[in-house]
Amino acid sequence: MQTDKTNQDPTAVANDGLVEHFAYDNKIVKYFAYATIFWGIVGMLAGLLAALQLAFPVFNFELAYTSFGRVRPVHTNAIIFAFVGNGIFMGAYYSLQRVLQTRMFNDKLSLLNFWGWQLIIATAAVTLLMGFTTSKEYAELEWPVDIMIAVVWITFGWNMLGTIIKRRVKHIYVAVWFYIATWVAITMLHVVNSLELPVGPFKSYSVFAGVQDALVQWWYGHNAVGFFLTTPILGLMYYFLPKIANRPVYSYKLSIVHFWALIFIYIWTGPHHLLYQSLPDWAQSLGVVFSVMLIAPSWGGMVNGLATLRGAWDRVRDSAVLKFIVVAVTAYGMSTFEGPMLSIKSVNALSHFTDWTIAHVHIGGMGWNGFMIFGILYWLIPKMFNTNLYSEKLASFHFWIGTLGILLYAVPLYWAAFTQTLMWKDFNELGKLANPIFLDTVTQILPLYHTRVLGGLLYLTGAVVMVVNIWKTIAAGNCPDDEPASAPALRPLVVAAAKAEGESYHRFIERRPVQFTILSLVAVAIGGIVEFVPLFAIQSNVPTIASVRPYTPLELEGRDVYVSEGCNTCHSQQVRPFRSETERYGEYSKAGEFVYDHPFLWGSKRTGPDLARSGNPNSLMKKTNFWQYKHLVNPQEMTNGQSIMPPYPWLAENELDLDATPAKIRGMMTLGVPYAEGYDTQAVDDLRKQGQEIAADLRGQNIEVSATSEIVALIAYLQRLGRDISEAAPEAQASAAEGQDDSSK
Amino acid sequence: MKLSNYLEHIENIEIFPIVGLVIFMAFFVLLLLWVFKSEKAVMDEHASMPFDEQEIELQHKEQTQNSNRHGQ
Repeated sequence: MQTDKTNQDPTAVANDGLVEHFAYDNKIVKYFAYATIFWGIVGMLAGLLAALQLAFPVFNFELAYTSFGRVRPVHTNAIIFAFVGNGIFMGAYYSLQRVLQTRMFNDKLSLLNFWGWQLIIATAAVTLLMGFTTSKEYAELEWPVDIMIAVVWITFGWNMLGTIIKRRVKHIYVAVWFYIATWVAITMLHVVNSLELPVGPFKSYSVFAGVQDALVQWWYGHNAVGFFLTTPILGLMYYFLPKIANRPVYSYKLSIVHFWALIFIYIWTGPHHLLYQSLPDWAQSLGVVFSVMLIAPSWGGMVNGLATLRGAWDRVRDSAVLKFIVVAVTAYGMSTFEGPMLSIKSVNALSHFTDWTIAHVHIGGMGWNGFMIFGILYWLIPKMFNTNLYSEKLASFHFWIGTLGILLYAVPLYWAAFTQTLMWKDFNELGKLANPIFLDTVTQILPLYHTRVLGGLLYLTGAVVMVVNIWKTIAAGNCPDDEPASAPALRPLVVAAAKAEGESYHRFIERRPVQFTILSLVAVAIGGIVEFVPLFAIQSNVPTIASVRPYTPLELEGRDVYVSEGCNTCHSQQVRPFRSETERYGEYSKAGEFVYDHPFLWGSKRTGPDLARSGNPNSLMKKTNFWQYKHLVNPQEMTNGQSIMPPYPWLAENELDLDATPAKIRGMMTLGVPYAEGYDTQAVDDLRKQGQEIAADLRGQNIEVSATSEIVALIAYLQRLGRDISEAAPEAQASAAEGQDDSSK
Repeated sequence: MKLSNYLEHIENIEIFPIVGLVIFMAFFVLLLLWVFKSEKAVMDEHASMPFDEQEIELQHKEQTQNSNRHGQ
């Protein structure tokens, strides 16, 4: 029974000797539920806009703020951190209190977690659209936002660990293990991948360069999927699926094996994003082996989830909630089978840089994450508001239109990927590329991009129907901020620091949250350490190339424009050692070419052609300054209206911020880029000089443009890419010059 | 001296991946042994943690009804 005292102060505990009375904090769960729904719609709208832009470039609106390179990160960040992130907090705050039989540790921390997270999301949306980005996928946010994320994430961890410590049960239920691992791993990943040197209020350079930066980024990138989109959702599955099906998880033993095997193996798999790229073979092999091994724990979890429904399958027919959950867990199984397959080198040679990856992540994102969160919302909201769902029929409609949406989204993209990759690799009977013009392979798959838009639209329509259904449900019910609860007081063994006689080590760890957290950290840190230390420590892993020199100040500024506009979203800078690629682009990429690249810009998708050789005179990719200018300002004009690249007319009008250039040079020097001592003072003069050369060249073609405009800097950068390896090393140049001197004597 | 200067002199650093794999396999095998030796009753108790007592009673009732129905 609730006492008067508890009513006055929800966190107060009345003790009648055996049972303690307290209240669950439902307000925070409600807040996170609203935020999940709101940001879900925003994220899906951004995704729909991005899909429209790829199908019809007019949807870029010729504006910097709405061009694809900036909208795409808004979509990915909104879905991952805003929609799924708030969904995770919603489920975690609800389930933690119940399985630990206590209120959250501190209401103020809960609110700080909520409002801090929303502030981060809003700041992220604004800064990304303004072009402030680090370029690293799913870690695009600049350093001030990174600090905000760290603060709010620590708040969540503090609140969670505090709650676990003050729990009223001995054993910590397996769902909570997944939350702990999530917190530990994301903390580690975020800190390491965000190591960057600020050179301005919203500008920084990654402390890592080239191949090392690539490894750190994809160690982060893949584990953002592993520890933000998988482990916390598995935690939700282990709590909500048994509750919804009203039967305990199929095998608790399997859940323990699932947990440890999954968190240990996941962390190693990042290098599978860099197969056939400039990464040492041993690191690629590690990524492949662990990725294939990952099938075992992933499918163990899927089987455990589906088998929990034993004896309840008849209810799936009538329950929209169960339908969502069943398809979610099945989608998890599908994408965790597909992932390891895509990690096999021979498959990856075909799939990488194509829409296959996009289809794959959307099976996971729309199916596993989206449907799991929809299912939980449909179950949780009526329960918290003490009412029935407004319309089971509307929920069922949402399920079917959502499922159709996923199919119409993914199937065309698989088709597009097969078509395009085979076109890229096709040779004619003369031994020449059958499709030497990259754009031909894009126009071929354009109808499939149109179909993808329809898939996204159906999925969004389902979500809008859910908003109406949830709105009506909320209007009909009432959710008290504090839900009365009672539980027996904590028994002494729970708090005992020492291992009891006869108690196994695992049992002991299961009731010691701090030790459990440390052990989880060890499990997730091993993979990273084993991959990073040799790559960072042994010089032979990154052979240097004598002719590779640091970027000039103008090229460096152009590189920043490239990053700011998100060019790397659609263009890779990594020629793989395949004949189909060396014929199309030129010499394959080598680790030593990227030693001054803070950050690396290898990309992960070729919506447009690779640009690693766009400045190499021996490559077909090399174009004139005139062509680059005209193409950037109006790509359609240069391609008979066929290109789907957004136009960038503002680049010709925007001036570089030359006041920031010296700080950028100094920043690069701090990171080890060998500019001459004091070069920062000379940098702007050199920049103007190089800009004037390009502007003069363009003037010769009747184009008037400022020598210090963004477009000139970007052209300078594009003309630099891949040029160094076509030139002789400085020593060779020097000895050649000496030879000439000798012969002239 | 920079940390990397020390790291460069770690002997046989290439063996790291194998050591990692061995650590994992050993941990994994021990975990499997421990898990399968664990008492079922304790595991069942842990698995029922998301439910309150009323819900567990209902589940038992449903299970009994089901087994009666299958027995008939």
